[in-house]
Parts: sequence; structure tokens; C-alpha cells
Amino acid sequence: MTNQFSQFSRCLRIVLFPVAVLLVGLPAGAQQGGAAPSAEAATFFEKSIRPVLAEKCAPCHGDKVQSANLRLDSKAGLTKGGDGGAIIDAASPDKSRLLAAIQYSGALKMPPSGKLPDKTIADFAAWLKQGAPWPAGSVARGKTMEERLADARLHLWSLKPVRKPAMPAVKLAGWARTPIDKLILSKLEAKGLTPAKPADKLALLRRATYDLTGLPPTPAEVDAFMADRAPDAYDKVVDRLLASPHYGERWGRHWLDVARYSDTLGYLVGNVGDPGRIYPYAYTYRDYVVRSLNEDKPYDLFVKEQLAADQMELKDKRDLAALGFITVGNHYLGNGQEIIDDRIDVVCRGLQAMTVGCARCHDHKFDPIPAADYYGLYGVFNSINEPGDLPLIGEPEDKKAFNAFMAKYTPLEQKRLQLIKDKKNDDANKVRDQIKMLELNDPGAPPRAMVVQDNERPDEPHILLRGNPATPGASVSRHFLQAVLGDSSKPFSKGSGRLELAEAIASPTNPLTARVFVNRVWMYHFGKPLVATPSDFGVRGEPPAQPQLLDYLAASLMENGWSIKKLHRQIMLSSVYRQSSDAPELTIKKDPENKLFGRMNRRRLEFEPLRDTLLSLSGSLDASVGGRPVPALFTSNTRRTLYTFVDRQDIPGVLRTFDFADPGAHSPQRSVTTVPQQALFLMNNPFVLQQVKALLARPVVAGTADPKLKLKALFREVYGRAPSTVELASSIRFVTGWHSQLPEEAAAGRAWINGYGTYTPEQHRVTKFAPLPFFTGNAWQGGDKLPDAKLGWVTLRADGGHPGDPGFSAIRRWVSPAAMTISIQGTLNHPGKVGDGVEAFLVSSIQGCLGDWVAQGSVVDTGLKQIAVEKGEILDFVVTCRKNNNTDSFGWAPVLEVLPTSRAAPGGVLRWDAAADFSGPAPDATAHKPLTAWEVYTQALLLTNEFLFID
Amino acid sequence: MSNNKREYHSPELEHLFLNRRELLKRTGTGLGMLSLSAMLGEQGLLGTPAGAQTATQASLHPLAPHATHFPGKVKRVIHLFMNGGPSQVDTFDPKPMLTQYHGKPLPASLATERKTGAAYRSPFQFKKYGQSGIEVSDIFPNVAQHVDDLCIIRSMHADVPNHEPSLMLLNCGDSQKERPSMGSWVLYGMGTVNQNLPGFIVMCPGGYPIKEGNNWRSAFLPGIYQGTYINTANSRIEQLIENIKNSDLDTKQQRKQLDLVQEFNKKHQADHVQDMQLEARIQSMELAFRMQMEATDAFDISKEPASVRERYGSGTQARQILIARRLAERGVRYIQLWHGAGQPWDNHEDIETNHRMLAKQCDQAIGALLTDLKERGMWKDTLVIWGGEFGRTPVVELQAKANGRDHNHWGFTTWMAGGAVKGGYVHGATDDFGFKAVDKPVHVHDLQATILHTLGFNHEKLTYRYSGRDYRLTDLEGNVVKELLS
Repeated sequence: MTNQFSQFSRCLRIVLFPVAVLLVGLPAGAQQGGAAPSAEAATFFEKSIRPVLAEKCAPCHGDKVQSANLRLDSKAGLTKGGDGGAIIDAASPDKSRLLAAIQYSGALKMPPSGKLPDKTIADFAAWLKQGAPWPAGSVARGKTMEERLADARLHLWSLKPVRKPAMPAVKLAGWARTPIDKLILSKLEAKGLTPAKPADKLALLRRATYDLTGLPPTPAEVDAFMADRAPDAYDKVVDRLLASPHYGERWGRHWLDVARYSDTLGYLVGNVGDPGRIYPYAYTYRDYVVRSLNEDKPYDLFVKEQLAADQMELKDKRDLAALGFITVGNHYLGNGQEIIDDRIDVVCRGLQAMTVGCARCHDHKFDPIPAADYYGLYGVFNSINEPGDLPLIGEPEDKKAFNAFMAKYTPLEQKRLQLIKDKKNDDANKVRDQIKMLELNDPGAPPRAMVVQDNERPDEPHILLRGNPATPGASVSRHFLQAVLGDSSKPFSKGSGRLELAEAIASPTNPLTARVFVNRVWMYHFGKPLVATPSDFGVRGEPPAQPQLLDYLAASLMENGWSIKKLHRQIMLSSVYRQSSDAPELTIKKDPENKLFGRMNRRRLEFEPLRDTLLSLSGSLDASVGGRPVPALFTSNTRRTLYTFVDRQDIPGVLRTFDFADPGAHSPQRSVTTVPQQALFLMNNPFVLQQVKALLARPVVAGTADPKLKLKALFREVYGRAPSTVELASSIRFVTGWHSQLPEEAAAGRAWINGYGTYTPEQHRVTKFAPLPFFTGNAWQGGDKLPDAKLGWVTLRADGGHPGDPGFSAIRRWVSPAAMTISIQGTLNHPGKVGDGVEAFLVSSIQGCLGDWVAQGSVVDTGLKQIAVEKGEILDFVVTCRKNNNTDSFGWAPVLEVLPTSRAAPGGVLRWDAAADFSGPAPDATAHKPLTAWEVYTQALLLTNEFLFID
Repeated sequence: MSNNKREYHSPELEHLFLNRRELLKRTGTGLGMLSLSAMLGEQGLLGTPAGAQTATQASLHPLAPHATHFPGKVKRVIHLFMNGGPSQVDTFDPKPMLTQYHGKPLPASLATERKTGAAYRSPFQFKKYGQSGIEVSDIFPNVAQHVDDLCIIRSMHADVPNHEPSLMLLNCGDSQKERPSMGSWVLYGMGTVNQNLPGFIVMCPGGYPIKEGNNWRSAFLPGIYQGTYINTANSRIEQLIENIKNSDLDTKQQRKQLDLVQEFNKKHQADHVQDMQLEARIQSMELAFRMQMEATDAFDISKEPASVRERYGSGTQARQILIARRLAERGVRYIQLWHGAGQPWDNHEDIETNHRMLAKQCDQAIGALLTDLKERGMWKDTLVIWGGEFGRTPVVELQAKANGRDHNHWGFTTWMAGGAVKGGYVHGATDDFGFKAVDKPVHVHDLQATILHTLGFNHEKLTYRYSGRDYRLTDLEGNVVKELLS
């Protein structure tokens, strides 16, 4: 690897962050060398050369960095060259190394980020030919952080004060019910578009219900809404839903994505599921979020409590659990730097949409965030600790359970403290794990809040150069982002400064807080945010396509006392929200990504509402709100998905498949994918079938035997509507045409029984038959050893077997599943060179002996071209040892085939092959019942797009 | 995902030569190499020839194959992860000087995780193999037969001598932060040709390695790019892949059920204005249906002739390496095989017994894999990677038995094989004792940059916008090591 090559990459590092360019005047006399160029040459230089030098070269060859000891921000640097020698050749300008480098003609290719445009290269060639004139008076450099801060506060959209916009005039005034509508409509009309027609009532009800509760409307709710002709019927629905306790669960889950909620602290040495990783009280934070939303706690208060509840006067001591926002993050094996970084990140991206983490190693490359601001916040989070004894925030309702818990808890805790005293830390940790499990699972364990508290002496932070604690730089105050506060930014003085931080964020003058929040709320309602980068409102984030709307919503939120429910109401009552997801063709053509919101976005159910809906259809949903996490997603867990234990380290595959937010860090937005693994879940997971069966057993469905009525009931439950005639017809066809049977392999396997017994020739009947009791993995026989004490040598394998003594013949039994005509193929093979060979009989339970063959060191064809059998008729393929069973291994694996002229067995089975179907004991063969037509049909309904998408 | 920076220049060959009918025919006959992008491309959904996906396409068909920055030689990766850290001086980096210094202190020792003592010679014999005459330890006799095909990097180095950060560095490019894994990046960057199987499959028998699922996480990339973990200690297909088999319906029955579903879906679709989401879901159900059969088949090594199974040998390693070959054949993009749960190669003591045993478990199968790839014409476009998260010290670890080695991030060996890399080539060197990479050192980020290069990526351009900036696997580091390339 050449030295130059590695310089490229160092260059690139900087080029990745192009710095804004400024031309700064220098005092007279600062000009370096050469006669002053002509005015024309100077203009050419300023226009065509200097911007390129400043933008493309100076980042690596400028005042901050001098890769290869080369500077290209002054004539002197240009003339001097770098490690590789001179870069301009005054004698033959065409041969200048500078030119070769930008032409990409040699080994050295500059700039490494990509070749310059041909025009620019030609300009450089011309400039070099002129003798590289460099006018006096200025050098090129990037803006200082102070300049960027000042700029951003003036020009960055997200940092400007929130202003309620004037309402635009619109043509379709009748459509615009609310200011939101006017703002959206004016943009649509500007593009010559009209909004989509209103959604039909059912679609609207389904949409609103899922949006606010994450559950489907019940058929009764559908009926009531359909019947309500009052003009405010829909308004009443929205109010009803906002008052539902399930509202907090639905929106709580959205907030938990923001808060990177998990019931574990992440990786620790040991195994997945080790109790040492558990946060037994994370649930109290989750419950706080749900309750706060249900109570319509003002958003500013909600934010403040999550940062500094311990320093506020609380009406309800359960609100202390709000501090889980800080503490439920990844624990990074106890690495303090990383824990602080994660906390700064969740606060800054989650609440402010500012990517402050970028300023950990250096000033932010794009945003007006100096490293000093990162360390200002670092100081706050480095001044707090998590107490060992988490405060109680309630008492268990059941005193007896509490006492029982304490009886277990107290001795363990005493033991733990003693072990710590004895410096037996490993043992102490083991006891701590026991305590954690007890706290997590014991119903008598009282809830505790995962709080933080201020250290006695707050940290006096320093900037850590390149984020390295070993290289502290300048000392800074604990303070909030200067970009947000501007001149009013003051050092924090109360303890860690957390309360001051909370106040700076939860403030009507903070331009970000309300904007960031309303953008998230809009995103959850429409499946798409107004600002495409919900956690990055910086210069590299996407500015909103509808800035007036964003500001209108933000301003109204604050006017309405930060009421979140009022915000929902405002959005949901708008005509925009009530649009159909089917847009006019012109709208789709002109605005395919729906940036203008001229229609509703159709959305796939996320995993949580999907699972909750399945449980609710089956009538088994446990609708209780709050409480300890439930361990497994599927088995016996009937609580809402929100309450499933979230292990940051081990998110179930099916959740990730459905784009569940990774709790590794703050999640701005879930991705949305449509992949086969999602379909596989609905097709094959036993949980789904379990719900199907339960749904069919509910009286509303099971109560009627009339297929038409049953179908109508199912449609009502699953889709909330009646089936059309066409749907009814194909459904009836499906249900009546379905043949219930076990999967072919299971059915085929069960058609054969490998046994032993006696054929009595006089009666032409098998007079004794019993299945062979022991399976070795490839053979059925009497026991694990041969000969078996009772049954002797009798054995059956896939391709043949061995008979026992007389009375212990090997018998393969086949039971006909239907009346049909079959052929039988096969050969009896007795390869033994000694002994008296074997004799085989084919015996029908109805027709008697159908064939009799002897093989002795020979192969005999045992085929039958055609034989009609009845349903339930038994065919026994019997092999006897004749007089003695010495060397009587035989091959005989008959194949039965349904003749083309005959009807097939149920399920279309046409062939039974004794060898291919040979298997060990069927797993709980008796419990395994084939699915009924109704079960298969009902599952099909759950697989449809109509069920999975919200219009 | 409109914010991504997958810059595509040339479409992959496999997209160009299949028309829709051929594709469906191939799929129908069970070859199953369904190239969704070809289908979509034909329907005009794939946009410009440059191939960049629109946000909608990326979300509806996140795994559809798409072109890389430039045509790469490699189409699939098999990463044999010797977790715990195999000792370089006992495998592929012979150091005679250690014998000379055995039991004596080295002139200069380096700090590692634990206390170490005197030089400790390799208990194994090294022999020259092949035309190249590269020396390999006798614990890898079968791999040694392929030495002329191996590109052995003896100058690898990482950052710290601890498992967790080193695993994260090697798999995700950052020892501390939550970053996507290499397999996720590759899947995000180029999709996968076989939509009937997961594109990134991770096999580890008996449980998870250290750091568990973090090793194959997708982090901020969409969840679908995450590795699909398979515990190869299981042998039944339904235990291997979640929801892959229906225990109540057979294929024919399920087809009938699906036909009804699709009948309803078509009707539903007809009732609405065209929406790609609805069509995509209809397609994804068909893919799911086929995936069940293809996956069952792919993991069933009993379908291999006995001669092939014998060549791989017996045991879990043999089985999972043979499965890896079957997956690679079927177009799985990135296959990572872990030697076992925990950190089997972490031999702080009894290194002679343990390394011998571990090598014996996989040597024959790795040799068979290399032979097989050649015989099946897959050599030229498969990249095989062998190595651990770091190596081991040439000095003895000071503990009771004093017959093992500590972790060593200063220098270790990784080898690669396949058409994209030089065969019979040794790159770089450690010092005289095998402690530290001194000649042409290759950092883990350089290895990653090189691996991405073989696949057709400029590692600096395979980026994803997250948290205010463009992230990439190699973060701000990494250089392609051109000397490794064929």
C-alpha cells in the first residue's frame, strides 16, 4: 500500500463533509508573491478556480489539515508543493502534477471523492498556463462555528421561531373543514390537483380505530357507526376512541420506539436470558407512558417529567417512573461514556431531532453543534447516578402477596449485602440475579421507578478530544444547545442541570420541541411524516414540504396547552385525514410519493396490531392495561403485544421481520417492508391457527350451522362487512369442496402399520395381528435387541424385513381409505443362500387370500394388476418363515397405485409406497386431527390483503 | 430509503439474460432462482438503467437483486468464523524462532488481556504444501492440500484484545456502537438472487456465539437485512427456520387455500386504484409458498449422494459446511458459519489438545467445500473467508496449566479463497515471533473494504443516511488491499 493511497482515504474523510466556503478579506500586504494579476485574470480565478480549491481541495489541504504537507489555500502553498515535491511546473504547465492529479491520468487521482467536471479541469489547465495567477486579499476557508451558529439561527428552518401561518385562499372552500385542510388544499391546487374523495364509512372507522387503539372496530361498533346518520357521528367516534384506555397503549408503543424501550440492559457476559440482564422495573416506565397519554398529560409536562421528575413536585408519585426515559437504554457493559452518549442521543434526537452525537469527537460537520455543546450535555449526564435502592411508587393491591414476596426478598437481600461485605462479588451477583427474577415475576413485588438522581458534586466537563477521555481539552459549562437557545443560553447551575435542561426543551420558545412532536404524530396518523427525517431537523435533514402546516400544528399544540389529544382530534377531524386511500389517477401520476397528502396512505398492519387483532378475533385478548411484562410472544400469552417482554439482545425474528423498532438505540421511524417471511408467519405459525379455531368456536360463529350464515358471521368479524354474492359463492364452493385430511405425508405414513402375527391358511385370514412395539430409527422390531425375548427375530424395515418363528410372521398392514380400484406392484426377494426361504401371502380382510408366493434364494414378482377394495378394507402383506427362520432376511416393499379409471383417495392421494412411506411412530398421532374446511377457510381470510392493510 | 446512496452503474449479468417466461419456467421446475428484479424490470418498475431503487421499490422489494457500484467478481460469501480466536502460530503462520525462545522471555512482549509469560513454541509441525510451498500446520492437513488456492493474510490486526469489541469490529465495523453487520450491508447493497431463501444466513450449532445476535444485526438498516440465525445442532427443517412448515396442511392443500386467498386479493385489488403495495403483497405470498419447499430442500443434506457426504465427513461442522454449499448453490448471498456456541477457539489452556480437536472437526469439510466449489464451477464467484476475531499470543498465558495462549489483536491470520483473490499467496507478515503485524499490516477495516470490493462495492459509497450522516461499514477508515485481488 503506497503512502499516497492512504492519504486518499484521509482526504476522503474530510471531503465527506464539505465545508461551507467563505472568502475572508485579509489585511493588505498579506498577499503572497507575484505581481498582481489583471482584473480579468482575477475574475476568472475568483469565479472558476478559487471555489474549487476551497471546496474540493482545502478540506484536506487547508488551514486545518495539510495532507501530504500540502496547502492549496494560498499561492505560497501552491508554489511550495507537498511531500511529493512541486505540484506546478512553471516551464511546462501542462506537465504539472496538479493537472495530472485532477485529470486522473496518473496513479495520484484527486480529489478522491470523484473526478472534477471536464470544464473545471480545462479551467485549471488554462489557469496554470497563465502562470497560476492568485489575486491578493483573500484566502479560502470554511466558516467558523460561531458563524455557522449565527447563520443557522437565522436561516435553518427548524430553528426559526414557530409562527402560526396565515391561511391561504382555496378554491374548493367547501371541502376545507379545518385550517389543516386549507393548507394542504392550497398546495394541491397549486399543482392543479384535487383531493381524493372521502373514505367510505367502514374504511374511516377501521382507520380511526386502528390509529388510536391498535385494535379493529368490533362489529357492534361498526353497526352503531353505520346507523348513526348524525353529522357529528364521526366526531363522536374519535372522542370515544380518545377516551379508550387502549389509546394509551397504542400511542405508548409509538413513544417506546422513540425511547428505545427494553426490559433488558443489553449484552452482558453469559447467555441470552440471563437474569442479570433484566430490568425488572422497566415496565413501570412503560406504564407511566401509557397512563400519561391516557390522562392527556400536556406534552411539555410529559417531557419534563421524563428528564427531571425527581426534581419536580409530582401529583402522583407513580410519575417518578418517567425517568425510565433516561435509564431503560443499553447498558454497554457498564461503559459510562457509551451510556452517556446513548442518553444524550435519546434526548437530542428523540425530543429535538438534533444529531448531537456527531459532536462527540469534533464540532458537528454540518449542523451548528459545537463539541462544546455535546460536552455541555455530557456534564449533565455525568452528574447523575442510579441509586441501588429504587424508590417504591406504589403498593401491591394484594397485601398477602406482598408479604409473601417480602418473606422471600428480605433474606436474599440480606445475604447479598453480606456477600458484598465479604467481597464475594460473584456470589453477590448471583443472589442479585435471584432477586431480579423474583422482582420480575412475583405478583407481590411492589412497583419501583427506574430513577436517576444528581450526584452530590456535579461534573465540571471538559471537551474530550476525539471523544477520548485520555485527552481532555477545554473546560465547558453544563448547558443546552446554543443553536436552540442562542444568546439566552446560560450555564446550568442547579445540580446536574437536568431540570434546567428539561425546561429548555419543554418550552414554548424552543423552536424544535413542538415541531418534532407534531411531526411524529402526523407520521403515525398518515404513515408518513411531514419532515422526512423525523429525528434530524438539521441542515442535512429534509426540510418539510409543508412548512406552514408543520408550524400550524406546532403552534396549535402549544396554544392548546400542549394537549396531545386535542392534536389528534384536530388532525383526525380534518378532511385530509378523512380522504380515501384511492386517489384520482392524476394525483398518483403527479405526486406518486404522496408528498402533498392528496390521499390517505394505505398501511400494512404493524406486528403489534396484527397480533392483537388475531387475539381479539378469537375472543381471547386479555384487555387489561399495564403490569409486568409477559415472557413469550405466542404460547399462552393473550395480553396485548405491548406487554411482551422486550429483550434488547434477542428480539424474536418474527418481530424484526415485521419491522419492529430495534431498541438498540432511539428509533426515528420504523421501516416498512413487505416480505415473504411475514406471509409465512400467517400461513404457518400455530398461533394463527389457534386463533382461527377459537374464532370458529365463538357463539357468534359456532351458533349457526347454515354455511351462509356462518360465512356472513366470519366476514363481519374479520372485515366488518357482509360478503358480496360473488364472495359468498366462491366461499361456499371452497368450504364444501374441501376434503379434510392430514397432510399427505402424515396420512400416507399412517396408511401402513408395521406389525406381526399369524396367518391361518385354513381360514384364509390373518387371525392374530399386533403392531411391532419398538422402533430403532430404521426398523420396527420386538425390542432394542434381536432376537427379542418375546417376539424373536421379527423385523420390518423400509425395504423388507425378517420373519420370526411361526406365529410371528412379519406383517405390513395397509388400510384402504376409500372404495377404489388399485394395482399392486412389488417383488419378493429372498437373497439367502441357505435355509428354506420365505413364503408370502397377500390377505384381504374381506376377500381372503389374494396371493401366495415362495422365494428361496430367488426373486419373485408379487404384482396384481387390478383389485377393487372397499373403504376400511385391510390388506396384509404377510411373510412367514416356512419351517425355520434361518437366514430369512427378505426384501418386499409393495407399491399400491390407484388405477386411472378409479376415483382417488381423499385429498387426491394416488399412491402408497411401503418403502417411501416407512416411518417411525407418528408424533402424537391421535392428537393430530386434520383441519376442517372452516378452519382452512377462516385462516385464508386472515391471509388476505383486505385484512392486513388499513385503507 | 430514498436517503440511501447505493450508486449503481451496471446491472448484474443475471438480470440481463432471463426473460420473464424463462424465469418462471426455471422457478416452476424448482431451480428457484427467481430474479424478482428481472420480472419487475420487465414490467418497467425498476426505474433507470442505473438501477437505483425508488423508495417505494426498496420498501416493497427490499431483497430484489440490484447492481453494485461496479461489476464485482464475487456473487456470494461463505464466512467460516473460528470464534474465540485461532492461534496464528499454530495454524498458518509458522515461527521457528519460537522454538528457539521456548520457555524464555521474548526480547519484547506486548500487552494483551491477561498476564503472559515466556515464549511458547507451537506443539504442531509445519510442512510445505503445493507449488507455492506455503507452510501449514499439521492440524489442517486437508485445507493444506488447497494452499495454492488460499490467499493468506498473515498481517491482520484489530484494536483491542477482548472478544466483544473485536467481534463487533470484525462483523459490524465498530467495536462499540450499534452498527449493521457486514452481511446486512451486503444484502442492503445488492439484494439476493433467490427470493425463496433468506439472503443472509447465519449458522451456529448449539446456541449463540458471544455477543449473540449483535453479530448479524441490521441495526439501523431495515430489519429484513438482518441475518437469519439457524441452530445447526437441530436437524429438522421446522426447527431450523421459523414458520417454514405447516404441520396441518400439505403443499397441495395449502395451494388450494392460497388460491382462494389470491382470488380474494385480486378482487380486492380490482376494487381499488392501482397500488404497488397490494401487488407486492400478492407476490410475496407466492414467494412464501415457494420458500417453504426450497428451504426444506436446501437444508436437507440427505439429498446429497453418499460420496459427497463422505467427502465432507461426519459431525456437525461437516453437516453445516455442506449445508452452506447447498445454500451458496441456491443463491444465498451471505452465509456465515460459526464454529460453535460461545467461543470454542478461545484456548487459554490446553491449546494443543483443543486446537487439534477443533481443527479436526472442520478441516476435512473445509477441504471438501473448496474442492466442491471448484467442481461445481462456483469457485470464480464465491468468496470463502476463514478466521477469528483475533489471534493468540506467541507467549504462554500465565495460569495454572501454562499451556495455552491469550488473545492477540496485534497480529493474526485470516485467509480467503475463491476466484476474486490471489491463490498460493501470503500477504504481509508478523514479527519473528508472530506477535505483531509488521509487514503490510491489514486492519480489519481494510479487510472489510477488500471484501466489499470483491463484491463490486466502493466501501466508501455503500452508505446509509442515519442520525444526521451517512454511515458505512468501514466508518471513516479502510483501504482496499489491492495485492490480495487476483
